[in-house]
Amino acid sequence: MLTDKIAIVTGGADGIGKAIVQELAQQGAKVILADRNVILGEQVTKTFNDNKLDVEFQKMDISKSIDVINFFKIIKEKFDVFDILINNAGIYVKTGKVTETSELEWNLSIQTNLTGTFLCCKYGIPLMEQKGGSIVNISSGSGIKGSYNAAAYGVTKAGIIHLTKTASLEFANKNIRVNCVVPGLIDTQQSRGSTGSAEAFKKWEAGIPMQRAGKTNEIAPLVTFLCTNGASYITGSEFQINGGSLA
Amino acid sequence: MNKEFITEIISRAVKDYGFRQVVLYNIEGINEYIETTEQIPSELIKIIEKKINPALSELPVPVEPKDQKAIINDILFLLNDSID
Repeated sequence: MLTDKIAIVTGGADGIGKAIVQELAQQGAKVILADRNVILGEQVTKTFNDNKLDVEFQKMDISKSIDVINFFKIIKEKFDVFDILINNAGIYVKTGKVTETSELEWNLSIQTNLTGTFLCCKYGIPLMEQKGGSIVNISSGSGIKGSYNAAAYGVTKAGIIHLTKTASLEFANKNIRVNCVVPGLIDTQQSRGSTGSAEAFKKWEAGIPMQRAGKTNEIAPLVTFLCTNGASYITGSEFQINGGSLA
Repeated sequence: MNKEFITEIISRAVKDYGFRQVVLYNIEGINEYIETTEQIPSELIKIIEKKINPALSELPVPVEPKDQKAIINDILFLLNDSID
């Protein structure tokens, strides 16, 4: 389905990103797994390679402009162009109420989640314009509905939805489709880490209509579909996957 | 760089997985967003990267509240000779 396509997945070493790397590679794409965690990134890539999946690791910290610029320089030198960009990397730094959120917490969240996604679009899209392609940005339910004590994170994820819509308009005539997937609570290191305890995670799960967190492999298939010809008329859209949380 | 500030950074890194990722992979980035007088000196960044990060990267996710205090103390102990 994605044979001969070159895909880039940021934050691909773990969690949702890792599942997306696997799914894209299983569908035939060559996947560049980008992550700032070199040890884990190389280890995960080796496992994929051992399973005959065409995955290559490349270090990138999306919160650093110079890293993003250098990353896409390398992509340009190696492949000239690419087809698929999955902007998945992000962090959730715990905060208090708006008035209790430190400028450090705010800026760390914005720099990684929002500026990082912007930078990948800014420097990645020029390498997609020649052939067209698909971009999928990963947002969060916190970007649609307000969440207590998560203003910084929520604003970045809302910003990603808006960035998606704007970029989709600007590059539709280049046949670059830009969509957004909006997961709810997914069982990852990040979401377990941000709840603070196993008990708190269970409580969060109990509040979901389907009464469980999603799995990473319940996100990856939709992301992959959005990169295929089957989604050729879909752009500027957001897709929620959350077990009914926002119903 | 005072001891309270570095203690706060380590405590946050233990309690908050997201902040831990910042300490592990972009601790110098913290300096971009804080007052010059509070910035983490480059020599301390090197010490954190060498001594603290291996311990942080081995922590369970999440660190349960009942375990946090002991783990923070254990990690700070690694820094005892390096901060005033």
